[in-house]
Amino acid sequence: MLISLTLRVNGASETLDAPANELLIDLLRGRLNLTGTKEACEVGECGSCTVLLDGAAVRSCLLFAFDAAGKEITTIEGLAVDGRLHPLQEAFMELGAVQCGFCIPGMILAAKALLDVQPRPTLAEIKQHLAGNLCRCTGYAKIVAAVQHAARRLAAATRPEAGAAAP
Amino acid sequence: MARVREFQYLEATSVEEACAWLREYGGAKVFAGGLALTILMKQHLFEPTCLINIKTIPGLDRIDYDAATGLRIGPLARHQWIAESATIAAHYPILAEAAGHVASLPIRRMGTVGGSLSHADPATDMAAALIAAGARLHLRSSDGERTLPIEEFFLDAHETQLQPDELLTGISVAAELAGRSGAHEKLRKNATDIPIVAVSVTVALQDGVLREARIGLAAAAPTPMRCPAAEALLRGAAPTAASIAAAAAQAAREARPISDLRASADYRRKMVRVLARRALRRAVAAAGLPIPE
Amino acid sequence: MPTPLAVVGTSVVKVDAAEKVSGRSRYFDDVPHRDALVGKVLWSRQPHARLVNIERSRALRVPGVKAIVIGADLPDGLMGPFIKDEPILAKGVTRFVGEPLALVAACSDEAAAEALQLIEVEYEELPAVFTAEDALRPGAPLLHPDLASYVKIYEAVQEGNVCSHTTFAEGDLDAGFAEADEVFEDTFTTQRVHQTYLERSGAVVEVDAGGRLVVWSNTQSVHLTQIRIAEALLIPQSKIHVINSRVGGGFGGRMEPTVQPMAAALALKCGKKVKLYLSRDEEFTFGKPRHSSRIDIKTGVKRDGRLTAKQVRLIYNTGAYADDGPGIAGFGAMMARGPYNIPHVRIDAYCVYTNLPKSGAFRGFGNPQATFASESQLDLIAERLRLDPIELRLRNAVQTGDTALGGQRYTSVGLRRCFEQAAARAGWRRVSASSSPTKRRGMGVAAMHHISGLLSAGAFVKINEDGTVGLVAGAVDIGQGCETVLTQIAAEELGVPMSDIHYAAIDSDTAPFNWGTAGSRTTFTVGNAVRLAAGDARRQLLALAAKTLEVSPDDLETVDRTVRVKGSPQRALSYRDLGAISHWVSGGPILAKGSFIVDGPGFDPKRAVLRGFPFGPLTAYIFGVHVVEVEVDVETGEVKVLKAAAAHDVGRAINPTVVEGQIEGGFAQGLGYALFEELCTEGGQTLNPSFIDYKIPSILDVPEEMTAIIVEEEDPHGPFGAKGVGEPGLVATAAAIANAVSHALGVRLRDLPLTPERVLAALEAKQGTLSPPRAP
Repeated sequence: MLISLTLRVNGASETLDAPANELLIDLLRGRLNLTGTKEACEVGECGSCTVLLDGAAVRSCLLFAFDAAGKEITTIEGLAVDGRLHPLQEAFMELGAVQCGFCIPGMILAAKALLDVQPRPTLAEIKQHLAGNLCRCTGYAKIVAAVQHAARRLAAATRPEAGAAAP
Repeated sequence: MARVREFQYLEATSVEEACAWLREYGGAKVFAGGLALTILMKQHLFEPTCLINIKTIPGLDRIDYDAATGLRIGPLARHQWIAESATIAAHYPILAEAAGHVASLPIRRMGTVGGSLSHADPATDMAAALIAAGARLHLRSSDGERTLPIEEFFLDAHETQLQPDELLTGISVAAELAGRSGAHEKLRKNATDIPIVAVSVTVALQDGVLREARIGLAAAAPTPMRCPAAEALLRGAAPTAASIAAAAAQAAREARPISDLRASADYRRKMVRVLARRALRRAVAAAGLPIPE
Repeated sequence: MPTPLAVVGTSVVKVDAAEKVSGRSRYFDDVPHRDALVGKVLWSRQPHARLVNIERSRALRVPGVKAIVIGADLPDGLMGPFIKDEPILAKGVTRFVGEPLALVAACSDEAAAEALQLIEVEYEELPAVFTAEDALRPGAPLLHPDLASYVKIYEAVQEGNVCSHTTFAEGDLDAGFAEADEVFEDTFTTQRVHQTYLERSGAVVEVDAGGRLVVWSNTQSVHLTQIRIAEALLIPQSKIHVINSRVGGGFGGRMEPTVQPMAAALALKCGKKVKLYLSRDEEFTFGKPRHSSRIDIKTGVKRDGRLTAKQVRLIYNTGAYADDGPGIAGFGAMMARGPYNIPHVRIDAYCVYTNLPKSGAFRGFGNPQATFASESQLDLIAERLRLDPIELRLRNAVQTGDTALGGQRYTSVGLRRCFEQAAARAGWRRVSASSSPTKRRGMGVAAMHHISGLLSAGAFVKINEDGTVGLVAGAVDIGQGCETVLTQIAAEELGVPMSDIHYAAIDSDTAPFNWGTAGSRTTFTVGNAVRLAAGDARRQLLALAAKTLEVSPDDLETVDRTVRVKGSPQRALSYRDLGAISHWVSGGPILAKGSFIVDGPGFDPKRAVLRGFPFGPLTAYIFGVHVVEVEVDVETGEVKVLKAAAAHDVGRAINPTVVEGQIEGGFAQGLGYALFEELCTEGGQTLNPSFIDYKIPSILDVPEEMTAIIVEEEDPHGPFGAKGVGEPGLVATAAAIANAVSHALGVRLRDLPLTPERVLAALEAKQGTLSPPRAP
């Protein structure tokens, strides 16, 4: 059976008919050609399929498309603004946090979900939020460093003008 | 190219409607967070012909507390909400602690407590904690509602009291069970795994003695289980190192562990003892009582 | 101190990083191939059985099914890197649960799945063996009765289920043990662990208009894939075109082909494009885990700690087919002496067939097993001799100029510096302590050596019309960073910015032969070929400039992509000019090449007996030392790694950040190997083919403090002095962790993985013998 869905993907509204048994990841990859979202383990353990659903990191390989109806979805393709990479993407590049890269879209999105609600995360918070995203290549050291680096950069960019809140 | 077999999809708008549909559509399955169920469907291990989405029923994800009536957790409450709820931390801290132990954060965010209990995996942290908390489950069908203590809900691995036409509509914990300190001890293969063994306890202390202790185990039997004999040993006892050790040993005797990939039955039984002792000591300490050796 | 260079030695951002963080990389499944049929595999359910009949008539009637292939349909070719023993589909007999028996091509997933259900296989069960021990017993069922008739690429020593027996022997073993004050005999075992690369394996194969097979897949070597398909299907290599996608990890598991030969067989049968993409459980059951092993070591030592003799027997369970097993066992033998001078040595490694799914290459290639055993035993020796474990190792450690097992000279050894720096960083101390009433801490060390010069490689450099550069090397970047590192080498040699160079995507039609991304060999081996090619290009640029400017090449210099006359900088031609001149005016397009092979120094037959070793010379030794601190819960047996320092002599680090990433990632994999990873079987059936039950380390499992330390002992034969680092980060990790656990508890653990249950059992065994049981 088909279900008529309206959802927003990376800021654009999409209206389509989805079979009830269609998984969100298949809709994104197969129908919208958003192949940056990866499927690795197939059972929700690895986090490679992470996308943001209304800002929260979810497993798109375990979500039926109907569950995303009316929601805002962000995939890795939606992070850059006007061709400019997100500070997390830049930090992952610059700090050498990318090896094979297969986990990276999910990892960056999971990190974004954290920084969006907690711009100055502690090390423990970073680890908790990325614990559901497995990387087999890096040993995570440079991933942690990249998230910390991006957080600092984002904080610096959004800091109020000096003097706005003088001590 | 579908990877999940086709099914009929229904969105319930009320509990009554969901119950009616469960009776009407044989082979229908309730759809909540969709984690365990979707995995089974992807693996073609379980292929319901009809899914009834209950997330479209308003209110089933609520967590309510009232000093007179106690705690009510809707089946759609996510594990992470329980972990983060100030109300639960204040009145039923064992539930918040155990919820924080479940899998990894994204899974805690997606997974519903009701879905997890209905899936009835023996290695479920929340089941052990809800047993320790003294929770009751509310099951509804078109014939009406029944409630039962959570430890009676589980019949075997992945088998429960839930009838095909019944819906788990809530989890409640009585008001008089609020305020008990507790502790959840978990042993696992790696940081995000299910428990090799987990032990949850709560204690109620009065005048320096244990008025009541409740002990729940996960992955120590084919179902999550309660340890009545160990609890009986503690009833009215002073919480000493010896009484706690004796109760922990009794919990280990009560356990009915199996051997599997994660550990042998022998090891699990030993670990029930170690973890029960640790959990009891920590729970008593959290209640502010020193434990004489 | 290495001489500063322009690009080499700097941590430039990896050339593939931008596309990867943007989600724009095209991995295997990211190119839709919507016109491809769905391919699926029927896997054997029996560990050892005669295939009496495979009936496919009912399956063929399923609407949408286009072809079904069984072994009997295929030519008699057998494939394998060292021993040609493996058919694409089982023929006559099946040897493991999960062996491919039949292939289906259909219009849809559903049709293919239904057809699989309807293929009827009639088995006649044969006795099966699952452990190497059982397979070695006299009268054990033989996996390959025709073993002697198989083609081998080396002088294999074989008997019964032993498909390859490698021997290294030097000196006089009896004299060595006689000279010793103490002799230690110990046995260690290791488990099967899976590479668990995140991207699953797949192949799309099409027969093109000219009858060639075009293969799109994710492999560590397009050339090995090409060769295996050719030998199995008995078609010329020139008729096979293998094109690589981005590869989502490999770690050895994609050195040899995965599904490509099956997809090729299916495409040939139905004449249509076919796609075969493994599910995760198929990856686990058909994949090629690291060999389980049993290792017996006897070591003689003088009271002052000098090692006099070492005898090692390594048994590797290779499963039903040899795959890389003979190379792995042979290399394990070569590594088993360790980076220590020992005058009298005999090593025997046996690669043994069993009815388990086949094992294969996984980061370390036989070395992790040998190093775990050897480095564990060294701690037992240090304990008995009351020597600091590092001191014991340093008293025997090799230095530049010493000889390796087999008689080759070490040309660059940074081992002592590795010990010093890892120990300093981790705060090495020999005091184990209780950190709480139920927890004890301990520290462990382990050293390792490996090689980075292995086999051959080629590279092309072409100067484009606008003076930019194309670099064509066959080395696949599986995430480790060789596209970046090789580009840095070419940029340095040519004197151009990296942005002027494009590292070509890899396909077997254009890329020069490359054995594969393996053996920690790419930086040294392919790097040398790239440097030669870039040097050749530079010489050709100079020659063209000399001819055009009518001067001698000796009078020219290159500065910033410009060739100019020394002393007359206005007389100059830019690379852009020279590119255009070569294309349109004079000389023709500049095509440069470099070919490199490790062909010496060879093993010394006067010094060593060497039998059944499937490689030629190997060179450019690399070294590493890991120091870890652990905390062990003495009531549960849980081990937590608190801190680690890993120092590695990699030669010159072409890109330090990339080198660190290899060390850090290798360490994490080694931690999983040490503590909890294990691919389990029962009756040959894989029990945990899923991320739910096969756990790899998460971010919460790796130590809070993990320091990668780069030691740069330049090798005279390496490109800019570089050696390699791909595998070493893993090799010593399990031994270091086991040594730390043993140090914390005062009890030796000899079997991996160190599960809580195993650790507790060891502790209880010790308490049972040494002290009365504690009161409850």
